[in-house]
Amino acid sequence: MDRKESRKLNREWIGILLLGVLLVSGIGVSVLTHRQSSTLAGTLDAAAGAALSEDWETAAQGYASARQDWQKRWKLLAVLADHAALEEIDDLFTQLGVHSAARDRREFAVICAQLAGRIRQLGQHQQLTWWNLL
Amino acid sequence: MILSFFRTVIVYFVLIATVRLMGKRQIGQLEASEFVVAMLVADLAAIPLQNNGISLLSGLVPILAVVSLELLLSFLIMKSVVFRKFLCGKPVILIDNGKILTDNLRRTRVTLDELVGHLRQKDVLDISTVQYAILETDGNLSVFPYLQELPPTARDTGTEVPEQSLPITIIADGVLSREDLIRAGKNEVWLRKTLGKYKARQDTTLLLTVDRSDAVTWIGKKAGN
Repeated sequence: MDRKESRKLNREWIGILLLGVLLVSGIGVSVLTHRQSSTLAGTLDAAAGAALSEDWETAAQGYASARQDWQKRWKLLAVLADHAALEEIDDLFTQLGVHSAARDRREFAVICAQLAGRIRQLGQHQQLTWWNLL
Repeated sequence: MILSFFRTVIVYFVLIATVRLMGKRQIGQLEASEFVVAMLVADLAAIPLQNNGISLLSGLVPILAVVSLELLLSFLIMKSVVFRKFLCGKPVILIDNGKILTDNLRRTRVTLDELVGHLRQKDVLDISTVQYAILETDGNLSVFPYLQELPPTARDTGTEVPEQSLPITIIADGVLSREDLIRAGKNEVWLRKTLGKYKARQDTTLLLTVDRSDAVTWIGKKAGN
């Protein structure tokens, strides 16, 4: 096998390797973002429920934990997702902070539900499903 | 990310199928897959550059996917005849032994006017002088006139011709290439002597070349040498 042919074979292996890396990391990121967004949305749903039953301590704890989680994951999501969607979620978290401080039960629950929905959507957008694909 | 990857794979194959469907005449000098890569990569690279709100990865993942697919496909094209036929198609004979194959013209959607135009580009004015014309997979037309229509070669006439050799550029735009001077088997003394013959210096020389038979070409920087 001459040098030219072996270079072509090397390129072929680079192609296979690259496709493999993209495939595996893509599936990994899809699973990870789906799992993280489900957990976050679950925490926010629980906080909304607690606020509606006037358990402010649990609601505030839920909000603080969700916000911390969100800030922790923001950088990874910013690399993958559309920044406009992330900014919208950031705004909702800011609003939620205000309603939490004001102990505005109804508004707090509404924003929590909106946030949970947006975060779930973000996770779903990264999922490998035929409707997302098409 | 995974969606960008699979979407790119889908778009890549759909585009290749589309380009193959369009036929050779639309491609020009590129094979179908090369044409698709050129088209896709340019567009994909522009997306994250135009909008800062879109992550760079959403542009890079598709580009990397296209490039790796191209690497794989070019390997498969090299190794498999079936795959090569499927992706690149086969050359199509448009003129066979002087006969214009109208079915093949129709199949490749080349009109007679276009065929005549292609022949003119190959310096053929009279279509009846063409024995074979083949539309290659990259869209180019190969033309073979009847042997009796070709000008006689030196061998045909038995004429002695000087040996042909590639000229080596020693000075280009006043800049001396010592590497090429050595490659031509010359030295500084030869260079000084040669420049002296033209009453020139290195900085007044636009081009100085020499070939294996020691034929020198000198062009000065000033108009009219």
